[in-house]
Amino acid sequence: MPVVQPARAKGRVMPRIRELRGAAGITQQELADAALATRQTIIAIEAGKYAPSLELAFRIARALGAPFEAVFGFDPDAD
Amino acid sequence: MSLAFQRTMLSLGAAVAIWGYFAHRMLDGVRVVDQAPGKVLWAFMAVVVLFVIAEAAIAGWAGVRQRAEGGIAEDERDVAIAAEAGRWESGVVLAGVNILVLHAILDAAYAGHALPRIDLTHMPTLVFALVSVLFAGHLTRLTITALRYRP
Repeated sequence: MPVVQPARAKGRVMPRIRELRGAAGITQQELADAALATRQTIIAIEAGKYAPSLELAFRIARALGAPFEAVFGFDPDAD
Repeated sequence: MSLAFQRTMLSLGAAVAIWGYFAHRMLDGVRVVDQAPGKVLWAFMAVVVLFVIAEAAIAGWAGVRQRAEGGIAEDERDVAIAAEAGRWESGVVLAGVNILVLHAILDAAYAGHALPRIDLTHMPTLVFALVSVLFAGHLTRLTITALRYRP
């Protein structure tokens, strides 16, 4: 009987915070304060080292005044 | 270098120094010195007091720095890092205690074995082993925390 391997989940969130923040002229600290996060968390998210919770992601999008999908893209094929 | 990283490194340095002091009080080379219970209790209490003083001083320093810098003191990432580091600490303490338990059982069952001996019937050795397991867990937690906060 063949063994069925479960499909490995793929995909990666691709934040575009740095570009949008630069365009809006907002510093990391200002964004952190507006999103109720620390500056280190904003740095980690921008660097792709930390995936924020939905609540924080929405707060960041709201602070940047941009739609959620514009701030957090998703690459379904990335490992 | 973030305040959280600096605070973790200070705690790590303090923990290593305090464990070093404890080892200095308890060891002669690699052997645990035979000591009266009162002396062992004094060494243990000194470790607890030094630990509390060091952590209180570091927390106070970090609090002053945080107020000066402003902004949010802690968010979900800090909580996630603390939770991950706590899981590592629990794992190390669990492994350490299990090793001591297995060692005690196997030591009784195979008295002539060639492995390094830990005489857990010797009170200072037992105290040193248990406190060292606690320190190993604590140092693991701080190391994981420092790795997650590293610049």
